[in-house]
Amino acid sequence: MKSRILNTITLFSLMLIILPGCNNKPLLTEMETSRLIVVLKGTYESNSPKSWNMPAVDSVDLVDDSVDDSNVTVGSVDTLPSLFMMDIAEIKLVDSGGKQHDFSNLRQTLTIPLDENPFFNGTGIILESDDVPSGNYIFAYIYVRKMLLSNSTKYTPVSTGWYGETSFDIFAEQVVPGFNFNQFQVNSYHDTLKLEGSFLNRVFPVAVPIVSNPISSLLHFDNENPYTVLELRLNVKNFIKKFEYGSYDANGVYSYIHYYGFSDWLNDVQSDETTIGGNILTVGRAFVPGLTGSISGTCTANRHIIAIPAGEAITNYTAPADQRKNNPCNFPRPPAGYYGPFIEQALDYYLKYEKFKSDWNLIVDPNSDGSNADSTCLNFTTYQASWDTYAQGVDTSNTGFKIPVLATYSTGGTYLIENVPAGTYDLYMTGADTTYGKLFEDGAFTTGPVTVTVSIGLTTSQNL
Amino acid sequence: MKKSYIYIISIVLMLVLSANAYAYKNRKDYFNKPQIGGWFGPITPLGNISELVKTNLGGGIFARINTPYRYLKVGLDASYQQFKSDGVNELQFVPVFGSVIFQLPVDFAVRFQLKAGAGAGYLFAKPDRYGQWDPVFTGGIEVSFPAGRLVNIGLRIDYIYIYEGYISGSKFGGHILNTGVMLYFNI
Repeated sequence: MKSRILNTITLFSLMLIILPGCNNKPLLTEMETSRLIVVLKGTYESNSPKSWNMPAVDSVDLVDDSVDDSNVTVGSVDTLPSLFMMDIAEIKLVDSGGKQHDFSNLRQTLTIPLDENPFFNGTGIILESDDVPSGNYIFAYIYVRKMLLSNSTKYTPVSTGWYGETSFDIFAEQVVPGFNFNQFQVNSYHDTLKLEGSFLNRVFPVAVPIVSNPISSLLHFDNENPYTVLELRLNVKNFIKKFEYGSYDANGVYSYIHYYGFSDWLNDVQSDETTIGGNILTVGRAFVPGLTGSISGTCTANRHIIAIPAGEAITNYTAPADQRKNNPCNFPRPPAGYYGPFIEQALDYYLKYEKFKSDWNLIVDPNSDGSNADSTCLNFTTYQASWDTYAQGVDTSNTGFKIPVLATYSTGGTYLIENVPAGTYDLYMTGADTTYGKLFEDGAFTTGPVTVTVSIGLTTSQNL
Repeated sequence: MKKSYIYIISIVLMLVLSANAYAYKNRKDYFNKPQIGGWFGPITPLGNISELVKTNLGGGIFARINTPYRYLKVGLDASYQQFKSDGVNELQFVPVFGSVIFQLPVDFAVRFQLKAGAGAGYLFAKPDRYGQWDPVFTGGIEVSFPAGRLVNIGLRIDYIYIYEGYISGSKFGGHILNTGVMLYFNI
């Protein structure tokens, strides 16, 4: 009896060799093959971006209006930034069910010169990644440890004026001349007004929405397709400004660092603020190479042309000017408390506190006549409403301000939008060239909507 | 071509197995009885897949029965092997195979055995989340110390080859080395 059972079992094991069937995939080769390609670009445009036109180092277009304490002109040793450095801890994808998938848990450090290299010329750089299970994905989370722009300068007050020297920071375990402005991008000013602001972290991770309108832009990853490209864009090119950061050094001397960061066109940064968050503007899209078309035609030179899903409001891609300055409840913030062993810190705090009270009173009592009848911000209800309106205006997820999935710049008299997934789009063109450090205010797109339909493998021709 | 070899081997073994599984000549030679046991030890990917996944620990069970020829046994092995990596790759491998075990006919206190076999293995890969059965071929060496009437302790080294060459688009197969200690019982 026992022997018969053992006989049968051994026979069965030999039969197993015949079992592996006909519909097998080369599983080990598939493990090695990466079918999802992640491309990172630093431009507003999806292809053919505008060239660099960074202005002079002390020009008013480059220096933010929040630089008012150490706005050195005589004796300035500032130089333009030359390198953009980014330290990425990992990248995750979020599927339509909300589950996060590890697919690139490799630390990657990028050092990119500010010239026409692939990161800034519309080609993009490929980030290392593995694959994900087949499915739909709606967000890419990029966990950014550091972001630096080189050539930051430290100014110390000396008897003869400001003394400037290069300021250093650490990137990829090396000492580099630059400043890690990522530490200040964790929150925007508006986040700090909210109770949950201390739980918000805008950089770890940076949430890049993968646009799903038209549905063919969604990351529908299917490992039956030979390749799928996931394009993630950060708006860096022509969007860098100079800010200042004051702090006490080890000797109790209050010095300033001039550092470079992303332009505060959307979330304005005001004097003495280190909350520069909310200005990392991103968009993601996916396409399968070979299953796309393109749009081309003639147009005015030096204009931006964008293609948005047909029927969507153009106001989702523009923002009103000076949203924070026009906010009637834009109260100043009290100065941070003083810590440390130096008497100068305590004295500075009390001076700043007096200034804060004076500025605060100017909003409540603009005529200084003891009456708040002409105040622009009378009560907490108005305060809440005006900041809620501001929040909606700078919201990058829905109707505030978004970067369009497809955009290009017409250097000559023609334009070309490449790698367009099939669908129907509205084309818009700006009425004037962009100013450095700014994007599109309401009314900037004067031509359009011009509706086009794109088919796979064909170039749709449309003159603007 | 390969399938015909498989059929020939299967038929030969089927004839061999028609004999009584309990045939052994020498009463005091407890080692030459049917055996059942398990093994545990490091499992190592070799070759192309060593760049995708890393060494781990694995284990398995096996059973073997006698044949009319004293130094030849026929066995059945199954094990669970999970290979992880620093990244997101993971490979779960469950081989189930039969084998022929030949004991070297030398009279030492330790027994040397050579093993060759074939069967199938279930592979499940992450992050692709895809699983399938693939044919496997194996060969190995065992050194055993009979420690009495019931218990044997041994060391084994097995090489397993996962064959995917018959699938179009496959560039390489899998090479895996299993090493470990065994504990098995004469039944």
